[in-house]
Amino acid sequence: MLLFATQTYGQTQHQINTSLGVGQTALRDQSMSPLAYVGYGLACGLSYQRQTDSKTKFFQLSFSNLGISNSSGNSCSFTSFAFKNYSLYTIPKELNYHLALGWSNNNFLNYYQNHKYGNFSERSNYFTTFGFAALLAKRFTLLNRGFIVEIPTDIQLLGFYLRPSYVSNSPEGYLNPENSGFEGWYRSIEAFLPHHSWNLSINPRISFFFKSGNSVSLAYQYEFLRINNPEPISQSNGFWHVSISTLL
Amino acid sequence: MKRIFILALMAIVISGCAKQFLADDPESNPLSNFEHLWHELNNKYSYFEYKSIDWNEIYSTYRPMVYEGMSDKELFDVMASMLYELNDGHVNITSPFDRSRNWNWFLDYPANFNENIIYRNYLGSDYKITGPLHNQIIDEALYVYYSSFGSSISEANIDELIDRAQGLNGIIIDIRSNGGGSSNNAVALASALTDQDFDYGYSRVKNGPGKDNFSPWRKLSISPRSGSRFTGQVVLLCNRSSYSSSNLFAQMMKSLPNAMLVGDNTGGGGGIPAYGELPNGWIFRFSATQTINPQGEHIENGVPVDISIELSPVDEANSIDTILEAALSILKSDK
Repeated sequence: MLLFATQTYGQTQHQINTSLGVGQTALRDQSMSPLAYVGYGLACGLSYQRQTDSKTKFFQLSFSNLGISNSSGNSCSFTSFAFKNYSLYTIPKELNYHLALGWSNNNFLNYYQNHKYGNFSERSNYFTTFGFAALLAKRFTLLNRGFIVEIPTDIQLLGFYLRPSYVSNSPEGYLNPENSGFEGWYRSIEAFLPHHSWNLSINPRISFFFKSGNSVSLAYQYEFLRINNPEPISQSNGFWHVSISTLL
Repeated sequence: MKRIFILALMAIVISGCAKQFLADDPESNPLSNFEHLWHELNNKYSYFEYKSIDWNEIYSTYRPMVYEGMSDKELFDVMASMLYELNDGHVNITSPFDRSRNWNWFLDYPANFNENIIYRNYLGSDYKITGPLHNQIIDEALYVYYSSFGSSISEANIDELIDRAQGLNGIIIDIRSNGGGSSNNAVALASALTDQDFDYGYSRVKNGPGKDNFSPWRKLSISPRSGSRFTGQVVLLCNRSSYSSSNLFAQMMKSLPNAMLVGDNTGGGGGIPAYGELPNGWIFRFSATQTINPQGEHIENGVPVDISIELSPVDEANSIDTILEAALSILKSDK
């Protein structure tokens, strides 16, 4: 996210950003195992940003794929897809120190398969959530070059999720053969509520700007998720990304 | 600027430490592992009521055998003995040094099968190896030996098999001592033996920790495959070692009007097994579903054959398979 990258002065700016990263995921799904599965892998992302003086809209698609294993050496393959968007409203303060507040929406799908399990080896979870978002940005100059440090963060508060039923990967609503596709979905979703479920992320990054307004960035994306019911799932991801942003 | 650098430094410090934000793995000692296993089975095993098993009583029997400082092998033996009480071939625990089992479903019964006789006296030297389906034309019938549902059958395998069976008296499918595998192979084979949809039972999945927490029953059906099919007489040969997916396939054939089961009742295994893991990393397996036939009877303890025949020791000594000979006679007489 390259907010406040350049001065807009009433004009609308469009940016596209591609990123590639490496990092770590740690997962504990109590319905699968009491042990944490941890591993390193690759991630990539594609995002679009539309920015005016007072408002920034940001949309990001991301994907990661890893092999994760536990302390006993049992392993899983792990794949994650996410679509996140931010709507941020600038709080004027000073030229090169910005604070923006707004809301965010996070949608993501995790799929993992335990290599040691025969049947019912797959698990998948889907979440759609809404919450607050904030961004702090600071410009600075180093060796006569312009840099910006940004720290966007969000915390998801309300939404819904689908998760596997008690022992099978099918969500509960789809275990009843009388339920249609939509009814199965409706009967499967559960509320994502504060104190019951948590999802938060922080994404500090430093960007270097070229004269063209394009930039290259180094970012660390951290995300934490927890669902407490019925069998808790905890997930913690941290990925280093290198990204390139282009003005459209 | 200083604050920015502090935040950047924090980012670097937390990177690579994603696991640190999760709670530690649970303590692994004999008692915690035993308790985890007992509770997981207590909440998820699907046949307590059907088998009239008092799992709490089993806990009170085996819990006193667990103590701090016991070796892994001693703990394994206690767990294996506890799981043995479930009398279920789908239940076991796997450690790096052993896998427990309860094989009474076939060890308590006659074998009724001798693979050597099949290969030497019936399949001979020129049988076809159509994927995992070893087949030979014997007395105007196509004999098919399928040793494991774990070996995948392709559509091309089935096309070839059906093509070979055309014009013959029937197909004899031998799943004796086939311990199961993927039910997809069972469905694929059954779908080549019918011209119309048929139901062969119902299944339901455990969906909560209560003993009666199950999903609604889901109908199990077979639809004819789109490729070539054989709708003549089918004889299925079974024994007590026909288990799990073989048991399910036997139930499919039991529900097929043009099929007949010959030999000994199957060994059972009506629940699809699910898996779990202990704090020490050992993997355990247990039945997590139930399957019943269209009449509402469980097939956990096997599917009864239509014609019960045992492998005669005298025949066996003379390299004759009594059960296969009976199947050949049935197809000849039905011609």
